[in-house]
Amino acid sequence: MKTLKKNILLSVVVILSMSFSACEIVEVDVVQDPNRPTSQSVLNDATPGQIQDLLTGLENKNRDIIDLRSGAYSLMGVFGRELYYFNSSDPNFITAWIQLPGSVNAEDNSSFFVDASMYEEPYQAVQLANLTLGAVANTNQLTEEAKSAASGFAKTIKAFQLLIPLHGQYQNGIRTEIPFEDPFQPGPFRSYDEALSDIRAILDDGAADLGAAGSTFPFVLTDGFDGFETPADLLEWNRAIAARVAIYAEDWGAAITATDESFMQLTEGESSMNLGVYHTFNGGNDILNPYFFTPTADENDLLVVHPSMLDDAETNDQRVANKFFQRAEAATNPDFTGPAIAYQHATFASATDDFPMIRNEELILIRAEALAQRNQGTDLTNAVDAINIVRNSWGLGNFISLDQDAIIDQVLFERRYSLWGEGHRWVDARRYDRLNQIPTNVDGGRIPTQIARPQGEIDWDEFTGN
Amino acid sequence: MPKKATMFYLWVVLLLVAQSAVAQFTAEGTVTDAQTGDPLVGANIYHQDSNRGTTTNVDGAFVIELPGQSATLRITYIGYITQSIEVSAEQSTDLQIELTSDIANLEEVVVTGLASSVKRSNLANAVSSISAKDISEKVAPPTIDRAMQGKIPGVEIMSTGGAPGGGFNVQLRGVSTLGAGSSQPLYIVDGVYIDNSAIRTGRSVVSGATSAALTDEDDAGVQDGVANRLADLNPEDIQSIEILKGPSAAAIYGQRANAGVIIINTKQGAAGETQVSFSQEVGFNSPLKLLGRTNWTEERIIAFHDDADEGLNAATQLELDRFRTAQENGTIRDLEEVFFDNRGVINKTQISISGGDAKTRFFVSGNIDNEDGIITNTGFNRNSLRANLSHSISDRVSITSNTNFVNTESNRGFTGNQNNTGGSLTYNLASHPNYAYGLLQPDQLGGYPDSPYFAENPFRLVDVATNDQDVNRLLQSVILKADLATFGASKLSLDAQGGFDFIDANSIVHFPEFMQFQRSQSFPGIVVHGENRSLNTNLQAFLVLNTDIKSGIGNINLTSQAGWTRFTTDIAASEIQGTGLLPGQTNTDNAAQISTNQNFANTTEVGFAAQQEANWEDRIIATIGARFDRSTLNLDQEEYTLYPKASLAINWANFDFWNINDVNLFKLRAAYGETGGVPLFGNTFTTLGTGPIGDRVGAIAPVASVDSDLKPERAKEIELGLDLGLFDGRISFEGTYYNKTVEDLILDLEPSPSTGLTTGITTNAAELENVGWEFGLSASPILSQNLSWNTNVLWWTNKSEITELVIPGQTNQALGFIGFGATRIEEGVSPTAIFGLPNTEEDQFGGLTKWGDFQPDFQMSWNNEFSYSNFAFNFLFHWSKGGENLDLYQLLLDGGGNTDDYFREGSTEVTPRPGPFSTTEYYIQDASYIKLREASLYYTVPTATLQEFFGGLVKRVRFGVSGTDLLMFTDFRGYDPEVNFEGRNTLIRSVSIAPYPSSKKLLFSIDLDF
Repeated sequence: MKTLKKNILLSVVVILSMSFSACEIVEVDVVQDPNRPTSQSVLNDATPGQIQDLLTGLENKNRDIIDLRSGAYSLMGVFGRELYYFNSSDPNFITAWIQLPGSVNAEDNSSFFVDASMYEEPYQAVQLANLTLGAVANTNQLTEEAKSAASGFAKTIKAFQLLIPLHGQYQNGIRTEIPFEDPFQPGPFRSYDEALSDIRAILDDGAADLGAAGSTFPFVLTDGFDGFETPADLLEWNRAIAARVAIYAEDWGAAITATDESFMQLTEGESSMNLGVYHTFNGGNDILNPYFFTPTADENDLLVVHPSMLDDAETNDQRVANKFFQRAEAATNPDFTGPAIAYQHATFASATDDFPMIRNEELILIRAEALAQRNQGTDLTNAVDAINIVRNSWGLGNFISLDQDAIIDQVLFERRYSLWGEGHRWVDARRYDRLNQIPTNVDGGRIPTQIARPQGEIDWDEFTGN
Repeated sequence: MPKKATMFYLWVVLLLVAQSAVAQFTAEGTVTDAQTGDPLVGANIYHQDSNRGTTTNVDGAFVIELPGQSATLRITYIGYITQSIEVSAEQSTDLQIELTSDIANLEEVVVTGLASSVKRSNLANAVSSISAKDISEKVAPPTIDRAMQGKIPGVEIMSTGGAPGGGFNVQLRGVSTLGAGSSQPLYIVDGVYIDNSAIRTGRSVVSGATSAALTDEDDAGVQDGVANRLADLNPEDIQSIEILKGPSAAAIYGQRANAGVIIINTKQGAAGETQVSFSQEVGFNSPLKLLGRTNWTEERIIAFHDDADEGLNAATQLELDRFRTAQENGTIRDLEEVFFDNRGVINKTQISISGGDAKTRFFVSGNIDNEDGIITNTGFNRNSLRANLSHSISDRVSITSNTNFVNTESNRGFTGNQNNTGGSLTYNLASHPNYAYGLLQPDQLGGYPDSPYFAENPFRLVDVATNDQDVNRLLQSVILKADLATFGASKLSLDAQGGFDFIDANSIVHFPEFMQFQRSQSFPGIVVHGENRSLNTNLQAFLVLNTDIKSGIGNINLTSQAGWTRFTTDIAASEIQGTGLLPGQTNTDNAAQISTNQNFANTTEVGFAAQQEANWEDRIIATIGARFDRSTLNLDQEEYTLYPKASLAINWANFDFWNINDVNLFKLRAAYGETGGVPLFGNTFTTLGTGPIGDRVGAIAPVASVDSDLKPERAKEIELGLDLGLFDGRISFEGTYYNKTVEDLILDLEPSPSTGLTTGITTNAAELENVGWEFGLSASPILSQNLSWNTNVLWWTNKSEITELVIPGQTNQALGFIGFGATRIEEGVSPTAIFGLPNTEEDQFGGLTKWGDFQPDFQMSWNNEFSYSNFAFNFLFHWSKGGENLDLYQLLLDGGGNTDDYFREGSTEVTPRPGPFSTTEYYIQDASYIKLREASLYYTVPTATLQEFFGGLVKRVRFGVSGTDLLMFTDFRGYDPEVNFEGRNTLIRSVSIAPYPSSKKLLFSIDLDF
């Protein structure tokens, strides 16, 4: 009897203990972040909605270069002496950016004073593109065409953004491959030329994807992409950026081909010039365009026009009237030793105006430059025709020349005015080894060739022993 | 398997074990104190073989029915050494049992496993414990953490300020994390892991001190100055607190135990007559220290305000006019005295009813605590109701239920840091000269004028601004114990526990629209409503097998246990902020702008544990154990991590060869254990941000990432000790050395900037070491019937050092300016060392100078208890020596010229000081102090007198007076060297920025037992 009781007891205990391990009470559901989306969640069978969010996010990160007045295009504008940034709360916008005597040369200053839009933020856009590509690769909820559409878009943005750090770093080179999954293993530094070819390869990949994306783009883009709503349109946008990179790589034939495949229109007129893809600003929950200034705006935080832009301008150039505003009172800055500046930034009519990413006007000038450089058959004539489409659009008479050098000079001159404030002149002058032609007499500073590799990269390489 | 089925099996077990016996006899007797001869009320008489027990009545008498013809009874009483006596049917009446008091607490039972405990004399660890007597009976503390101060070696406690209701940072044995995990010990109340978070109110957002996000779980970065939720527990309900200070003792709690474990048990009823206890305390808070302020004169005003000798400037003239007006009107007041030198009334009422019979026991208590702060409109109220019930279903099965409902309300006002808003009284006063008093008084309509000296009139701030937090909390635990079976000398039992802790906290912080700074805002008036709901649940089931093995060398007792635990947390927090409020309205429906903020967190943890203990005749006691834990807080949510432990204690005095009669205890002990530290919730997620563009919002790439090999932090501790007991415990000594290392410390590595990860990669990056000594010496020099004196000295020290760092060094600044002080994470450096300016020849880490260390060189306390006839007198001194801290308040006071010694005595000459912006010397302070933590005097009315007046109605009457922090001796120039502006920062431990001044308390009490 006693043994039986014991046995029953023992079996009960055993059953009980077993029931614990079988029961839900030892099961643990994996906890996902209840507060925000995580990269884990989008990397695992993402929904079309999640991919949409990533693409919208890419548009947002793509805009970081211009989301503050202290951003990349302002710095490049100062380096190219297109403009000055008067910010009375920090003298570095004058001393470091103009490279006044006493400031460390940008080429040697690994902690050069510039906000994240010159380096970290473009790379955040690149990482988001990489995350998007990973999400697209790991989902079964999208058609192959939709996957191609998303990939093509992400790769185009990634290539566009890699240009920003490359502009700043120039001959230092940049990393072009940074695996999202393993941040401990960023790829090696690629020389300027290698990086350009990496970027072009990414663009070509993106073009192939967009070409395989079918006839409709299954995601919604912001107003900045008005008129670029199908994969075919977006492919033309991709080729426009490819044309820009091709002239950096001095691959003139490819640049001409790319302009042909892009949305370029060789027609005159303001609307033709401004045709293109934009960074949009909406206000409300969105931010406003920081490059909009009221007339005679407060001089404590203001972009002013470099006097050479007015001195060198042709009379009646509508670009001057469109972009520069003569202030009621000239603007001054306590650290700026030059004269008071009469003109301020006036490209935008309202704070919700969009900021161009790439426009037809640039494509026409890219074509002109590439033709002039290739100089085969009727190339020079065609180049001059292209230049004149732009000139006529802004109320200027024809430029006439058949001298290759003169044509190239003219293209660069037109680019100064057509693309003012959009981050080009410093890069153009450097491409043609003409940094010494940028005037520094007004401010007493110097023009740097590039910015030193960021201290964070030096630290990382030191830490990893590379 | 459904839960119903589990219950069914459980009942089967219970039914099977029910038994009955046949032959019986009755034993009767009394239990008395061997020293005084007084009867001991409520002593336990227990017969193990039949599992029967009873307790003594008010006369110390007991009666118990026993089976068979003879039996061994075990007589236990808290605070006395246990005795076993043989009784038989023949010798069973008028048993006279005398118990000797356990001065060295050798009999005290200490937790060593999740379902087992041992006598202190057999313990292999230095586990400190505090009994009810020292928690609340001598000096009633407002909160439980406060009750530990100076009573536990190895602990360092900082507070967020002097506001009633506390707000404490409890650090056991040095540094346990560098910030990625919880730095606070795990608190377990009756088996339930309680929520001890510091629930923010949003005060620092409204006052502008910080703009920390709601997600800040551990209050490390928030300057809200709130109480930690241990404040909800009524100290008078606590029976005992055990402190497992390091991994060697706490390993069985696995991944939650890196910062130590504090086990709190509440009072239980005892069989016997129903006892009704009533206690009433009345007293007051008053400032512990006042700093004093500048006595302004016309000469001093000119010296302070005028910067040139070209005659008086307009500002100076204005100040002179104000000063003269104030002189004429007699409205020069010491503003510090006006605001801080107040008496905050304290009122505590406690009723408890306890009793029961052999089957059912109960302890029911109700408590109302009201404590006003020294600042007007601040205070802390706690209303607590508790019902602890236990019932023996049969001889073998008992069930206990502990239920506690608490409502706590804190009105904390505004002190501490602020930014532009004027939203801190203490900060505010630094800018106001004493002659501003008249300017700040309300006009005839009751409206306050704006302050010309700061962003707010301090009188208006105190009067109209609100910072209240209201907490409703329910704590419930159920404990089931069952003897399942007996096999010869073996006994198998089940120990199952479960429970929950539910908190609903609501807060409101409000600046009305007519306040000075608010009126300058685009949307005047701001209110923040906060709600935090949290639910913790615990489940635990253990099987325990107890076996006696008789062998040639004696008896070996083996206790084996194995079991399972599960712990979950679920938190939902939200904040609604409204600005642009309609007059008099705090509902955000009346706000022009509304913003909200939500945070959710949930965690599930499962663990398995097994432990084997062996005890050879109380001579050699050995334990080994292991715990496997998994947590959804870890990066790998499914992986089980192993936390082992082992310990050995050798009681030399229990061996036959021991012949030193005066040495009753000579114990050498060694223990080793490992514990874990889980990351805070959210730290292992790579969270996408949000980025609006156009009319859409997108997801953007994370700016932080997590090392894919991330492991939980792990602490390893070896502890060695020697315990001595001499002259029957009249003198006892406990000495402990420990070496606690913490490995795999989680830090953020700054990666290549091209990763875009500007916040960093969370990775295991460092290792640190804490080495410490803890000594305790207790003695009872006098022990006679009329007079007794117990004295107790504790001494402890800890040194911390980072022993390995695999990423570049990091600097943690206290505030935005390095000169205000910082700590440095660097190999070979103490993580609590204070660095700062200037750049000297002996620069360290890019221009920093080491100025001190937040951790003291040593701490020491001295406790004394005297009893003479019916009087009891007690005092406790606490000495902390050699630590440094940072005082930033003087910078503010100097800025207004209002520091007590701003001008040299009787002159207009400014006292020269170093810095303040070139050297940290200006801020660094010696934080050493001696405090009279507690002192009390009680008179118990003699029993005979009570008989005469009340008959048998009133059993005990005690009158007393007690005080907390009555004296402080320190060179620290601020209000209190033990405060920190940032609640529970484990590294930046003590920085004083305009805190709520600390107070001392005096309480008068009467206790009645019926």
